Amino acid sequence: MKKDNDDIKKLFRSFGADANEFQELAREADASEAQSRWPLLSSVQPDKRELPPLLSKAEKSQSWRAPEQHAQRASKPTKQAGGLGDKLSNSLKQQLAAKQSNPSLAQPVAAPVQAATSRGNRNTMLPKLGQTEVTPPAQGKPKGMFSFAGEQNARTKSKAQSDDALSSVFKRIGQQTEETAAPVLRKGLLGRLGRP
Amino acid sequence: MIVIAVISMKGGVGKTSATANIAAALAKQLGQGAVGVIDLDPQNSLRLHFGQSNAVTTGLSSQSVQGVGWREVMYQSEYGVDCVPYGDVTESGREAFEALLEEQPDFVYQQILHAGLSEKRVVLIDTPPGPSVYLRQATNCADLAIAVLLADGGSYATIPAMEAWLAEVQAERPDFQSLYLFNQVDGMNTLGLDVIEVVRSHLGKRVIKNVIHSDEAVAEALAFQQPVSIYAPHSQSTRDLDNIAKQLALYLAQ
Repeated sequence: MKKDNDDIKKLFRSFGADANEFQELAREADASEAQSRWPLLSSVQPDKRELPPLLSKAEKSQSWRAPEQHAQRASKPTKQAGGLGDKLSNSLKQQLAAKQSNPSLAQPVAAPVQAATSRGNRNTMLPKLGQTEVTPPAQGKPKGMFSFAGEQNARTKSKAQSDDALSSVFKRIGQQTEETAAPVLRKGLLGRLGRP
Repeated sequence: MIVIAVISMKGGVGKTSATANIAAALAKQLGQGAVGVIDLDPQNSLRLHFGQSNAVTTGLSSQSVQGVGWREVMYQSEYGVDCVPYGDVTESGREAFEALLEEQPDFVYQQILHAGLSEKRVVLIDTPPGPSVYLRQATNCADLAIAVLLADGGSYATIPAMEAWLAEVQAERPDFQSLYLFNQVDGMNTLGLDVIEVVRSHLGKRVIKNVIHSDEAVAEALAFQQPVSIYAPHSQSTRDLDNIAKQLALYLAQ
């Protein structure tokens, strides 16, 4: 090989040319041939500094942010799916709307005075929490567990409405499960043992 | 004194073996005691090539953290090369040493001067693969970097990243130079030969003309705790290393 190179050098010298140029041309030809054989060798160029230079200290301090800051910037994705949770929340909204349409039901429930006295003074802790006294119900008479029959009826009616909304949801869920799951009859222990 | 950093972007290219064997080959060229090696790799395996006992656990990492110089841990091998090992160190000790290197960018260079390594003609620094505080320290004080590559696709793909790193160092220090060296080359492997051809066509004279051929004598020499030039003086790899040492000596003399 070395002898061949020497021969080529002598040949080029005899023509007054530079043998190094020939060798460079031959190398370029070999390299392009090699690159055509292996895709990686043509896709990556060794002399191309494609990567960005590493950050200087000043740049690092500018670009770096605490993880909390990144978290603040990140927006929470909005929920779009209309699943069971959405149906239940709609039902609850309907309940709330029903309550708002009937103001008597929207008032807070307070325990009867008797109950409060019988259990001791439970309001002693409230001043510490910034409240001076329990706000009585607007309608004069306390409403609570033992409310009057008329109010009870109105409540029951409204509750029935909301129950209807909930039951319609659960009915739909039930239908879905009935459609998807085959009915499984559970036998008693004796039945499974084949005894009457 | 000329400092040579032996670097690579990829692990497993035989960098430590190449460092040790080039150092031993240079010592043959330049004479006994003319070459020193520094192990900046936490693997702490460079010393094994020079026959240091495994029982010795101290090294430059623990010395530095304790504020003691490197001269006390320098190992004078019988192969003409003086070696400063990294030393066995705990995780917290390593972190403390790395923090020290982060704080003082010229720490290694200062230690080289204080340890008397500046009296050597050549000091080689072995570094762990990829960008690290060790690589930064080594390139901060090196006159020349030798990037070790395997003749394969994995090493080839790291060259742009290596070039970006070297360009950054050269922007800060225009006198800094770099060369590429192919290690463990199989002369019968078409891909390997093609990789070398393409890299040479792009990087020209920055690729060291001689390669280190794949040779089982290199691995055997490590198992024997000797440089390959001592273990197998007539092996292919010893011939390669002698040629590389001659080229380097000429290069450094320029």
